[in-house]
Amino acid sequence: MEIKLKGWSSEGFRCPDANIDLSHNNGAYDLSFIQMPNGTGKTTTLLLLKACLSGNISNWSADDIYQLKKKNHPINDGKFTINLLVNNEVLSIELVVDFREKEVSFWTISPQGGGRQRGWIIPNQLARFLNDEFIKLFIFDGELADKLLNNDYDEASKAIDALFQLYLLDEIKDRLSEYWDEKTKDVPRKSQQAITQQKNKLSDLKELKTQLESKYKTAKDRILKNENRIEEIKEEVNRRITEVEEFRKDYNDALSSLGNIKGKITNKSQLAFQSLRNPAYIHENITNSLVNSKNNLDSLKLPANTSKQFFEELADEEICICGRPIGDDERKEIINKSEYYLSNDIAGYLNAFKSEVSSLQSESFDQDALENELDSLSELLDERDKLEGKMRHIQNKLKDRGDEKLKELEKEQVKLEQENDSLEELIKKFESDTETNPLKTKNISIIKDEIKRIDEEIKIISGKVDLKNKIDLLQDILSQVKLISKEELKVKILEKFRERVVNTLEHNPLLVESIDGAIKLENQQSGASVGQTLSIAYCFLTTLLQWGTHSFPLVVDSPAGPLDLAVRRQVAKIIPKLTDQFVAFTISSERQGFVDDIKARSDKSIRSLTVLRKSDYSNKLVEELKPNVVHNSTDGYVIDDEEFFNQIDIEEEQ
Amino acid sequence: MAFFIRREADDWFKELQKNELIRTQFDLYYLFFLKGISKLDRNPKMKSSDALKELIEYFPSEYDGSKNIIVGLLVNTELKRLGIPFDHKENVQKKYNKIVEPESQSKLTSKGFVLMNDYASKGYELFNQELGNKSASLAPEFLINAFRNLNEEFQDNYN
Amino acid sequence: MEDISSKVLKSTIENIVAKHNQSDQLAHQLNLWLDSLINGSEDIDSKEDVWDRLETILNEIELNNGN
Repeated sequence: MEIKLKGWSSEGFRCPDANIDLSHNNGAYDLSFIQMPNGTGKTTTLLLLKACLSGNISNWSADDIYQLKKKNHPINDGKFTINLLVNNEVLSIELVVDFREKEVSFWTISPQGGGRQRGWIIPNQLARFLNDEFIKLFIFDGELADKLLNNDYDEASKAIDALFQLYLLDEIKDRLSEYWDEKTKDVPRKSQQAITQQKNKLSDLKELKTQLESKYKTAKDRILKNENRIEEIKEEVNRRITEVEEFRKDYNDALSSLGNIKGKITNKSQLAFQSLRNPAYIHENITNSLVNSKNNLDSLKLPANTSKQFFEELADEEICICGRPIGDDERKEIINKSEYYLSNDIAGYLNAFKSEVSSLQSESFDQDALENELDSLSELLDERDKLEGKMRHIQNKLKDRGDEKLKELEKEQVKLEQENDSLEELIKKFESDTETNPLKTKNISIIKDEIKRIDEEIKIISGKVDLKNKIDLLQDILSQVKLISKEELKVKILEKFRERVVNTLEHNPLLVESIDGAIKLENQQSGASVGQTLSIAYCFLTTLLQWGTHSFPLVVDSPAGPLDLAVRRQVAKIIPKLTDQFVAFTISSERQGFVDDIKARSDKSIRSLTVLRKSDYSNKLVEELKPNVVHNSTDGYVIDDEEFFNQIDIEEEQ
Repeated sequence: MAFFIRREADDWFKELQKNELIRTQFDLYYLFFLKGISKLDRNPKMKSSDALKELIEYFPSEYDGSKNIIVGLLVNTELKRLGIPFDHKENVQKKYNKIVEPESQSKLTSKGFVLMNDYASKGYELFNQELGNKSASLAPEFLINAFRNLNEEFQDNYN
Repeated sequence: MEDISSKVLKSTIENIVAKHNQSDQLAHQLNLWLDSLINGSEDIDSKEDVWDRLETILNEIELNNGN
């Protein structure tokens, strides 16, 4: 990727309106110096350059925006355009500000990309480099140079991240965290601890369930056992009674009649119930009502030919059967009303219903017959009671005679029956205790439900714990990848960096020890000098900017400002070697030892521009110049003249 | 959706079953249902699992010959209860649509099930009040009393 | 992105994934993904794509206890 700065233009902002053109021979000048006295808006220009490149003005407040406006000028809009050559293709980014609304918009102009489009539309290949961190590396300010060698900062590390896009790995990690949040937003955050908690609860409940189930079974078994015993007792009682000659016959007769009757009762009840399953047999009023219902359906002509389906299908049509169009309102109404029509299948039901009612009609419902049946059932029950009474009477007689065994058996039977009653009560609890607290209830189904619920919950949490572990592992892998690959890359960078340092600082080589957060120089007890710092910084940055097949311009604000002469000369020597395109904003005092030196030594193409704000003073200066070198705007001059550049002596704006 | 019986009727059922007077709980449920129908009265408020016990989702096979009638009776009763005139075609159709699900074995929609359960719930309450809950002694009599009771109710109310 | 750097990243991924007893498949997935992010053919801002990929990768990960 090769990027060159072709120039920029500014209109409506604090800096003087100007059009800076650095293009040269289908490319750009190798070295461009833009001489601007302090106060001419360098800061603003650099700010706007960076903003255009990054497309990011998210940290600009409304006030910030307003501050960019030209002072004391009735102007409402500002437009700043940066012109680039990306792999020899033209690309311009425009930043448009509406000062009244305090709004900013971007426009992208690229012949290949379809002309002028709204928005910051940069192809991915390039966009990857146009983030704030990376832009810092090529739109450079002196502060960064200091920070690069300052251990309190990790600018060097960040620069490497920016170039190699290692930040992508961080972004993936962030996305993983977001992913986790997304997946768990509806589920309360719980940890392994919670699973353990739930599992403990689960085992308590299971224990409880087992206990209750065992008690339940015991109770049921006991009831059965008791019932069996009661039967045994009854039989023994019977035997005892029939052993007594006096009572034998009567008792046996009663016993067998009882058996008989019980059978009859069962049969009769089942038969009775059989017919009563058809409600019509309960009472003729029911039959009548059903017949009325059938007749009604007939008179309403139900089921009808028109069914719900008909209307549902009609609603799908564009034109009604009457020929009129069906719009949304009509459609809604049709669907509404379709509820009032029967669906096809119900038609089938209704027909079946009607025919069953018809057959009921033709059947005679004999009320009396039912009455008789019930009466005879009642009689049978009475008879049963009588027989049982008779048998009890005999039993008592025997008891009164002093049959101890009989008394015993009776007592035992009563005891067992009572026991069974309380066991039944207990069983009821196991089946339908209304206490809802699963840890307190006797209701086995409630406990089972709770066990199921906790099981589900554990599954969900475990699922999440599983997912979390995976995410943690992946994030861990990514962290390690970043760390280790950065180390490896640093080794390679260090190699190239050292090479560059040696080549460019031939006479005063510094030894680079390492690159951590900052660049560490060997044998630096007292810290590097200003000159050294700058030199190193330049070497480092340009190592990165010229890495492999990439080439970025280096744009610097006051590159030599703080340097004394000797150092200036030093730095001046290395500048031309460092990059393919160097653009510097300078003030007149930087010419000596720096700009002049560079120009003298270099055989590269050089552009020297001077930008001045219009004033009485600058008006006078410009008067003497040939018109073709002076580019006029509403409030500024751009002077494209080497001689003027070299002679002018304004450090501060007049 | 299914048929739900009032839990408290368990005692009755046990006694009746012991005396071989009734085969399944659904038979008991059916009696309750008829009682509710006879009074055109239902209890829609008992819905919790402590009040109700799930029986089955379909009519037992003994009811195959009469389930259409039973469902028809339910619709009928609803129309009566809500005072919907029988000759109001649209409303009658709507009611059938609401209650009848011809595709299912039970012929009932979920709303249909709910209604039937509500009638049965009320029926249980009424029987409880009227016939008492002395289950043990009443077991055989219950059946007879229940039939007679229903017979009277339909005589008086349902016409 | 320079060839050297992406090579470095990729081999690092492979080594680390191997160290965690994870499958080659996983390393491959990660490398593929890294590739597309690096050469800009996949936009990391497209959340749905990222999550889809993430799910694939996460499914790939086996948790060997005592890692």
